[in-house]
Amino acid sequence: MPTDKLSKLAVEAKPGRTNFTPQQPLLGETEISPQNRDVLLQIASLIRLAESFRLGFVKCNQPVQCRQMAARLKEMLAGEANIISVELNEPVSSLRRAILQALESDESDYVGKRAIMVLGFEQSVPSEGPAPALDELNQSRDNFPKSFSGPVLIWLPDYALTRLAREAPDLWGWRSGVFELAPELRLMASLVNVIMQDVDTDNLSLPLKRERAAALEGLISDYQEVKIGERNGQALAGVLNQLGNLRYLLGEYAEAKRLYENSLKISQELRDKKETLKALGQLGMLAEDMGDLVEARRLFQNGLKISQKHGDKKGISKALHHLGNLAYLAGDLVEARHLYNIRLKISEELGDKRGSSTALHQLGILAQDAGDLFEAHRLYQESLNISQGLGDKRGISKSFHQLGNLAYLAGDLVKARLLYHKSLEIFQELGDKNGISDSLGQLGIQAYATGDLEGARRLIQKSMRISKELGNKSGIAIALKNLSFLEEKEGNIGGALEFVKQAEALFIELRSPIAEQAGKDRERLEKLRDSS
Amino acid sequence: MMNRTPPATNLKDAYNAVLLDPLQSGDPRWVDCSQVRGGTDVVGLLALRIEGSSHSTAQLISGHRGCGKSTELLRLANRLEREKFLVVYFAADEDIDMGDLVYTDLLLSIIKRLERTLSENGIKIDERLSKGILMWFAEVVYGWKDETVMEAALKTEFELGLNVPAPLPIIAKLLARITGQIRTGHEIRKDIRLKLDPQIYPLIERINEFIRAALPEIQKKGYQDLVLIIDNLDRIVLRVLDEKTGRTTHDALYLEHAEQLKALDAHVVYTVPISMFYSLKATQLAGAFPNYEILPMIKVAEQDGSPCQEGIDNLSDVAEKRINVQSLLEKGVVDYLAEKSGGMLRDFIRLLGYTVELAQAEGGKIPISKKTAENAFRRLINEYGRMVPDEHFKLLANVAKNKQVRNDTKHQAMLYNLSVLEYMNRDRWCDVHPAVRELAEFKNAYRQIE
Repeated sequence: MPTDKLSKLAVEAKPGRTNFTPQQPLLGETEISPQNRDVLLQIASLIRLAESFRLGFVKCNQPVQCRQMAARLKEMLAGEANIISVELNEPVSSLRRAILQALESDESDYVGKRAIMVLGFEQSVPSEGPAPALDELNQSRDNFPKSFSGPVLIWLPDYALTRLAREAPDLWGWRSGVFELAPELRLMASLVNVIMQDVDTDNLSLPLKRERAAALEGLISDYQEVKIGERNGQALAGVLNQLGNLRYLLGEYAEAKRLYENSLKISQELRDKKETLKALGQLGMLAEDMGDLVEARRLFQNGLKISQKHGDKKGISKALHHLGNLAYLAGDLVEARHLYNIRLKISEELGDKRGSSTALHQLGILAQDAGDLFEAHRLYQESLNISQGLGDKRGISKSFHQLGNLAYLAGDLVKARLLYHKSLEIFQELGDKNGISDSLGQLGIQAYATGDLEGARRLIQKSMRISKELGNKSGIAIALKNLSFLEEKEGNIGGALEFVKQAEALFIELRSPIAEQAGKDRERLEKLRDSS
Repeated sequence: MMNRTPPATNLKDAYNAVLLDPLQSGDPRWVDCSQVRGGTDVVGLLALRIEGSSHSTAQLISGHRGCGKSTELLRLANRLEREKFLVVYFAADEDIDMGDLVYTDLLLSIIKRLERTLSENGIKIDERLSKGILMWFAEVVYGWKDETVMEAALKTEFELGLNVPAPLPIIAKLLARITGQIRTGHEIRKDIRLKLDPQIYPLIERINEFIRAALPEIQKKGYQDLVLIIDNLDRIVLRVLDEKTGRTTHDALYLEHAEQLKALDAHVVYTVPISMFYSLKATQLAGAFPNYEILPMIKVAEQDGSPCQEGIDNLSDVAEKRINVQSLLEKGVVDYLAEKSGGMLRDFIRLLGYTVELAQAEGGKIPISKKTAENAFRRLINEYGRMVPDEHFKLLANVAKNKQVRNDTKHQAMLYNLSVLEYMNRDRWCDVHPAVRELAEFKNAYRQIE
């Protein structure tokens, strides 16, 4: 069985997350800018006047601001009209059907006029690439007046509204007003404060991750709209990095890369060391995942140099840790151990608990590879204790995963299964795709060990699908190698050979030491095929 | 929706009197704008060709989105009905996915609508023939050779509560099934097309058989002939199908299938995207369909930029049929809005609505001042700002200067998104929408070429 692949390291963050709930009113009514108050008055006029279907659009970048403004409208029109907010929480294929569905589940009795506010449709409108929801919308304009008897206002951030205007021209042609709400500077400032104090995005649950990502997207649009001064620039770099990390965790690698690169550009211009280092480290990890180890090394060393220049110990320790990961992937275990030990030492000096925990975790993997299961167990357990103290769910989940591996190696399949499941549950809660893929793969191996070949195949294929979605080459390679193993056990030499060839090619591309093992398997299978 | 109420005298009534929907034929709010649309009565011309022809005709009508095309086509339908033609009028996008339309979809939609109109009018055609056509579809599309198999399949489906009013003749059920699947099912759409594509000529022949069988029955009911009016077909999404040749979805339908479009044994009026008349293939299109009409904008300014009072007065009439202009608007406001609409009916009505709504937001004072109207126009300017991509401004500046558009895809796109509008004196000429002219990017580009 191949070794478990190296766990991905999270962006380092301060422990202790403030309770961030965007629903919290952050902006008092009187604090709404006069300009926006006029716009709200115009929207209210449309609703007051209209006696039949009208289609309106509201430009508003920030979901938090959208909610507040919609709530304000509700107050303004109390007694005159029912304002029904439909919040879409995920992409939809048909906006009209999604609204109708939401209205169906609304059981309130409305007397009098109804106006519908639709929030969150931007999730169906990516900033680039095809947007089938817009095509559908463009063709459904004749159905809107048939489905709704009063005003419908669609709230969208700037970019999405522009796309709609250009790509759904027949629907757009039917508009009865586009209302443009300007960014509220005070709201932006308080949002940045709340969000930037709370950088532990790794441990947000999946819905909270999505919500946070939406708030960050809104902030970025707002920043683009208002003039960017140096202070805003710094905040923007931080926002881009944080959003990048969320996209990374959610498995949207291309988008994550774009955001990090953007952040790097801004923070380098402003000579903002903190955000520069963060972006370099994250880009390095992305490159590592995508199998571009040369680029990853370049980025980590770049970060190391900057940290050394500034005497930033924590930065140095992190960069060394990443370089340790690369050494491990290249099979240089001595170098890896050396680097992890430095990381551990510096982290302990600095009281950086999360740093200690990740270093211990990696050292545990080295001990496990060397066959010292007892030592590995001690290290994982120690790492786990720290993570639990921090409430670091992602760290906890990774420890469970490794402890599962140990149980498996010790032959305790029941315990292994239990631990993998615990780990999987946490990853699923966090929406952490990489983690989910790892857990599924290990559960597959575990299933094989209990004699369930079919289950094993299913789980490993599922794990491979996720790795493919992510573009995570080492994940794909490991899954392929395991699938080859299963095929061979079932006597399908041809199939086994096919898989192992693909795996070998990937391992070679990744310069992984596993390539050699895969090559031997291939040769053995070829002999088997020729002799039969 | 007939509106015979007197023009609105307060803001609320006024707001609800300026709706963007097309007028039904015979609506008293209709205003004859043909003089400022270049002096041609488009409906009259289309109708005359149908009335005066002994054989079937295929005509095209084109015009900008929101220029009053549907209103005019509904008038055409009404006039022909008065002249005792049986008219099948339908909006293509109700049946067909305009983002992915092929010619056979259109044919299927035509026969479905035709069948529906005939049965609504109590016109029955020879049962044996009808059955032959029915079984042809059943076999080609679904491979059902046996009538009982087909009946059983359709019976269960329609009894499972699909939204089709019962009782339907079996042919209607089958056609509804096919068009429904084409409209909504991605996989099955591909499958059906694969089967129908090689059968285009037999398919046309089946439809013509159907028409020929229906004609004597139609005439027995006192009608002269059959006319199909297909609205909204111009909404077919413009997509390049072949990067090398620049072949588009529009070319595929109107040019490559021109012969088939003309092959039906009935008078047909098709709507065509206006951009086609500005493509490199315009001559080819006009060659294939010598009878075509373009509904230009209402001219509110001359080529030299001076106001065209006749067009402005026409739009004033449009306003006065809906709202009491004297009591609601300060003098000069309607003329101002008419000018700024570029003669595009829908934008004119939209601007009236914005003006009323802003007046309400500002406290509801009447008569509404010019300043409020200017704010309404400001909103329209911002909206056009969203629609126009940066790379168009230089070209737009040239259109403003030369009053002509080139036959290329960018200029087609500019006509498509209404940043360029077409007018007619004796010749066609183009100009940039007044709202676009106010955009800073446009002004910069214009300054540069001056």
